[in-house]
Amino acid sequence: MSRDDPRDPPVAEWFVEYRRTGDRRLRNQLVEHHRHVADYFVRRYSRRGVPADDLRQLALLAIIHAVERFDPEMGVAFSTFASRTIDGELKRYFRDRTWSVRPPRRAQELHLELRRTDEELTHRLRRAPTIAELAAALDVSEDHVLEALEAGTAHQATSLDQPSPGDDDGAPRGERLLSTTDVGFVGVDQQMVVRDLLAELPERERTIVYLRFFENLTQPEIAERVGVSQSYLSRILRRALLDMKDRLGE
Amino acid sequence: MSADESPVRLVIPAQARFLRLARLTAAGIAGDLGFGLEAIEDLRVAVDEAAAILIEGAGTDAEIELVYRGTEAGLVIEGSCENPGAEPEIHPVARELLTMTADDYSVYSTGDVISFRLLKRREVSSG
Repeated sequence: MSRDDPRDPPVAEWFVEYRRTGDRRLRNQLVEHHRHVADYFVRRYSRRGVPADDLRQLALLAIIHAVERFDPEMGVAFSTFASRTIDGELKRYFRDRTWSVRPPRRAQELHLELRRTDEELTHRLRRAPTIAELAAALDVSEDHVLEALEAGTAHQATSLDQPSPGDDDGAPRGERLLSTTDVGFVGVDQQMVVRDLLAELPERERTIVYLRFFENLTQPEIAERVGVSQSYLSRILRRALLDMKDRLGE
Repeated sequence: MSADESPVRLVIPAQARFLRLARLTAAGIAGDLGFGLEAIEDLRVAVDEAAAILIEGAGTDAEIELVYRGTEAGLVIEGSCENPGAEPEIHPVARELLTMTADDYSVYSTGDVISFRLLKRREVSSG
């Protein structure tokens, strides 16, 4: 799926410029240029009973997500990074549809986690955490942190927190697709292609990294599965990723 | 907000970092109108894309005005921005996103003002 033809446009420069400016036109250019990666996964998952339009939308949002997160300086080809992102998002979507065990991240539920995380980070940082830090710790977008704050102050729950007719009782697509950036881990996230590094980790760390980046589980989900607190899990994950990153640099 | 209430108006600087407010307002109002989670997520994408078209190349002191109006059909969001020289051209990727996430939309310019209008219908249960 790579396009290394020297006649191709200066995509690496587009990425550098996009990361610098956030220019929407550049984002669109990058998405369009790599659209074949998304199309590949649409075809690959096309026989699983999901309407084609839904699949295309999921894949498009996923590749936008990939473009927004990609750092060309990490030395990983975008097509590789995007493939993993799209594949992960679609697998997660199918898993959620199939298993029906996805814990819904409703705004009010998130509000409770927000309170806990705010206390933990305040204690650890010895200052009030920023919205961006809270979002990273909770593995959600800053928008959703702000919504969760709103949910905690609302006099009554709005329909944001209520299931709608036909809703499959799960997290919204956009939440899954547009809000899973681990702000502090983005660079390392892109190195997950280095499976050999993963193999050298102790078993528990390996499992946690695998669940986070290959199964795309959230930190709360992994903490529950592994049986540790979310804050402890966050430390284990960070340590494991830094370890992998260090060894990559050796 | 019900269909017969006054519209909500939001004026923000025409800069990308303020589009979050447009998204959050859309989500809040749509939730109030009884939209489901997926429709709300669609709306966030749609209003973000539409507003981004308006502010492209806008001056540093430009503002974008957004009007959110609940109607019998659903939620109508209109945006306008004084942006001389801007053309209502929509990149194919943005067009596709808008087509996927809004039930109807248009982008047009009148003089120096570029505007959009989008509609998200109330959901009809597919059973």
